Amino acid sequence: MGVVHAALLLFAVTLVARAAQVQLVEHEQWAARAERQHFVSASRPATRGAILDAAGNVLVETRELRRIAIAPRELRDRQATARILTRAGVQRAWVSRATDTTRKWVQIPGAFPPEMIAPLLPMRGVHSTIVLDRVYSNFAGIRKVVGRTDGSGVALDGLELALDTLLRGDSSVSRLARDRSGRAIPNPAGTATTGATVTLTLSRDLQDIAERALAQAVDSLDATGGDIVVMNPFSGEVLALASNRVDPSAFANTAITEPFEPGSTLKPFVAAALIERGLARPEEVIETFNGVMEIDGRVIRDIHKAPSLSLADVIRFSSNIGIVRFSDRLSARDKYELLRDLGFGAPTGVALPAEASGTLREPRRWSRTSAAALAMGYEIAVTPLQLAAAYSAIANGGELLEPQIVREVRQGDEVIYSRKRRVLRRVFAPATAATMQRMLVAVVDSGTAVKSDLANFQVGGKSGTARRTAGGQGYVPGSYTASFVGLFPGDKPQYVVVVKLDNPKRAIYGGETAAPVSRVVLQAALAARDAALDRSALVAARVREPAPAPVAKGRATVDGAAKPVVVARAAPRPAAVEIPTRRELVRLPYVPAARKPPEPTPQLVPDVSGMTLRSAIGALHGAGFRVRLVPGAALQVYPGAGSVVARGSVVTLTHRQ
Amino acid sequence: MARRIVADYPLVLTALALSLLGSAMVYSAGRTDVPTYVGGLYKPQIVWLILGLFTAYMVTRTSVRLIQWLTVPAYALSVILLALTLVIGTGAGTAASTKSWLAIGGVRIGQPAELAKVTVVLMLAQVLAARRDSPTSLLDLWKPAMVVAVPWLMIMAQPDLGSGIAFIGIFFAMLYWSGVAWPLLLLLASPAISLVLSFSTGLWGAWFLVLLALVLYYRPFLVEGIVLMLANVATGVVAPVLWEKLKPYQQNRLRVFIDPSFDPKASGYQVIQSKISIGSGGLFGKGFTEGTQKRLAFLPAQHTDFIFAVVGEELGFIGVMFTLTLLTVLLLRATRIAERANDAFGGLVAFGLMASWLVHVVVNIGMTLNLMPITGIPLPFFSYGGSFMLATWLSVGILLRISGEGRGRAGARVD
Repeated sequence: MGVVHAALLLFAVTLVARAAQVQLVEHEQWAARAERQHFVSASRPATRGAILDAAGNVLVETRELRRIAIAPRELRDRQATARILTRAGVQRAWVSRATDTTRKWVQIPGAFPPEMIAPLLPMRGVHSTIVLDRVYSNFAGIRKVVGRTDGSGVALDGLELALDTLLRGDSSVSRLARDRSGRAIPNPAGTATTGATVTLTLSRDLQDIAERALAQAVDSLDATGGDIVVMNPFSGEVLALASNRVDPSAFANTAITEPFEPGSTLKPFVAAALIERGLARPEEVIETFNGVMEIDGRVIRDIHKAPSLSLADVIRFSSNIGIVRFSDRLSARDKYELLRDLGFGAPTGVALPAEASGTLREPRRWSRTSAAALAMGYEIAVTPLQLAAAYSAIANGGELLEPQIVREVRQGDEVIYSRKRRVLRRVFAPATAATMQRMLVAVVDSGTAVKSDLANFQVGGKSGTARRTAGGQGYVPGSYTASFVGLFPGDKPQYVVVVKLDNPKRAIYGGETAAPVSRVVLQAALAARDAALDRSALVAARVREPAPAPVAKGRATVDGAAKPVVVARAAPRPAAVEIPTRRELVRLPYVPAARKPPEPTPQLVPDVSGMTLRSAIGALHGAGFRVRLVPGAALQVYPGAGSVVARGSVVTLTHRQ
Repeated sequence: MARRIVADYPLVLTALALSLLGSAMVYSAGRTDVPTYVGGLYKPQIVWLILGLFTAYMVTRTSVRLIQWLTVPAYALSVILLALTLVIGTGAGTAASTKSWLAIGGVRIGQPAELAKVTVVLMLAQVLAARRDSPTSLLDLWKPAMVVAVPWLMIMAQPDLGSGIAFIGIFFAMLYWSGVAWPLLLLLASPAISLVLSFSTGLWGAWFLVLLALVLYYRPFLVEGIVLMLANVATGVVAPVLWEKLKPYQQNRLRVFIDPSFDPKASGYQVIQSKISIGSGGLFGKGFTEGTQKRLAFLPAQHTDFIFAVVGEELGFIGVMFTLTLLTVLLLRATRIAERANDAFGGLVAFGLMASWLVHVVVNIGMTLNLMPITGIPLPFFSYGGSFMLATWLSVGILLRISGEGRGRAGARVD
């Protein structure tokens, strides 16, 4: 009897002891072995976040594509495999190679969106690897702002670099479970965190408009480059940030990295400071000596020669003598603090790399002529973005806002950052700002910048033409920076547009060169479907204008004050007089029906190599693309075969003629 | 015979607890990341369990006398079914090349070997209980040996090594219970021991000295002694020949038992994966259905032969202890029933069924823990399988009936 119990006990003890040995004593060792065979530390990078424009258009996104290799001998259903491959756009030669059982391993060229080859992935004999493809918007203009990443996903410049920590996600946790046959198992605990999606304040369409207008201006004026900044003066949102340099090596947002001497575009701030401090009234007249004055041994000339001008006309005709004389009423400290308070000399903090702070020297480092030079916009360097922010203060009633380029950052469904209007400080009283707006409207109506005027909207603005220095050797004869800052519409601006052209050759004046660019931009923006414009407000403004509103009264005052000067003018620019101040033609702007832009459907660009031109176009149309034909060396499609582009977008087809 | 039956609650409750835990583990075994057919097997398993419970209940409503009366026909039926299986049997699952399933028209009905395990116990009890006194010589054992040998040979021909081992276990256990002296059992087993030990000349030589001492001590008939010694010599000599006759996978299984890393990709794979499962479970396990070894399909036969590895991985050492405790309670209870049975037949049957379970438990769990070579043997109450579940609960039913008719105290042993 005892023998049986003893035997049972012996067996039980043996098994328990063994279990204890394996599970308790050797646990670490076995757990490590399990870990080793269950998980691969796949160096799977996190999917980089997307960048969208204000309207939700994708500017850049990362798509997960699959590269496929096929082991033909392991395939169960070769016909089905061949069918799916053909449908995914794989060339016939590769399809037959992939199902040729005399081959051991066939790597299919190109990468495919997973949804396109989904039925293939779980098949035996099909091996796939994930590749992450960074797809940029076809709008070339915005790419400079968006920036670039290199092949391995490292940010190089632009927003990609500035917002890299948000966009890149977290690839540190990249454990991938793997089953016995080596297939990866979705592992919720160990997936990489996708990067955040960044929505910009920029409008892709407006950016495109600005880029095109700028490129055309640079080209037609033979300039060396230029920049355009469009900003919403009430919210501080940067709507477009275009930069153009003839030098192809300049791949930077020069609108924020390259300061320039603004010249006359700075004058309105001096005028505003005078009015704000009660040192001058708009209608106050000062002697301007028929356009020539010597100060501290330096001769200052006006293009617009007059014996005397009111402060409003000093701005309207951009009188150097007038602004220098008026600015004498401000102390050096006042001037410095004015410009400092407007944000000059300090970076705006916009989320782009390599922003320049510009130059604003303290009064103790000024020379004798500095005070006069500053009033005319010299001895100070500003970036176009700083200038746009400063003009926004005039446009919005006196508040300096922080220019912002990021509207929202989302991590999955969670909003982790949402843009808030940020007032840096009040620079002018609302009344001063309103007076300045009226003065700027007069500049466009009948002053130096009539070429920026629109037929059916009031526009305010100020042009500037500044001499350029080169290589620290002083001003170069014949080299100018032409600039224009526009407020659109003039009474309640929705845009502040800064246009700056470097070294225009055919014409030099800002009013002749930069102002028309602003008009082109505004016209195109009005015609565009989506350009961050509040059209209902525009219509209201248009309807309100003829009524005897305070705005109209204000304008009358300015015009009235200007009248004697216009009469006394010796050599006025004819255009300025002939432009009627009020136009009868009232055209309502096109208000599009509220409709959502269609969701972009991703589509694979088919391979057209070896096709005839006709069948290539057919294939591209069949895939839902619009085709642009460009004569070239060989039949080639851009973006290349296998790239993923939104259905309906334009692809370029080069062909031999 | 109209005695009021008091149900043996410890036995029923332990068996029920084991069955519920076992069904849960079959369910868990189906929870893999890439779903397989195993995923739905818990449903038929529960159906079989209910059928088993019903069978057990029916058996408790009969009597030991009726069971004894049915023994010969049942045994004959088993033998016929086994013979039939050899002719028209098919394989299944991991053992596709064997003939262990009885199938009619392609539909697999069951594994006769599982039924045979119960009927052989009954038949052996019948034969041993019929004797007035215990066998004292090897020649006396020819009848019980025949009872086991006929089905055993047919099962080994399938081949089903696991069931074969179970039969040998049952045979020796029941001989012991019927009062056969242990030296005689050792002499009976000696040729097999020679077979194993002959691979090392030193060990074999030592074994012969032990055997000689045993023969001198027990003093069997002269002829018997000589035959025994010759048989030992013969098996020792033919061992290398037999080794050569073994199929390579069989040789590897034996080698792998000594050292699993000998062939980690094939035969050693199962042992290594089983040990990784149990070892990585640690003290508390990875949680029910959460075992990664099983989920990622590294563990082979996770719902049948290696289901204990799932217990080890998911429920940890705690779960292993709990399971082993339940099994030990069951075996002790069955032993107690054997002690207190009303007559020799009942006692022998109870002890035989206990021994059958013991062999299954020890060999199966020992296999998952690399204490035994790998043989396809299931774990009672746990491993998926209809015939096996039915046979297991048939055994429970028989034990319950014997317990019910048994006396309140020990002492019904045939001495």
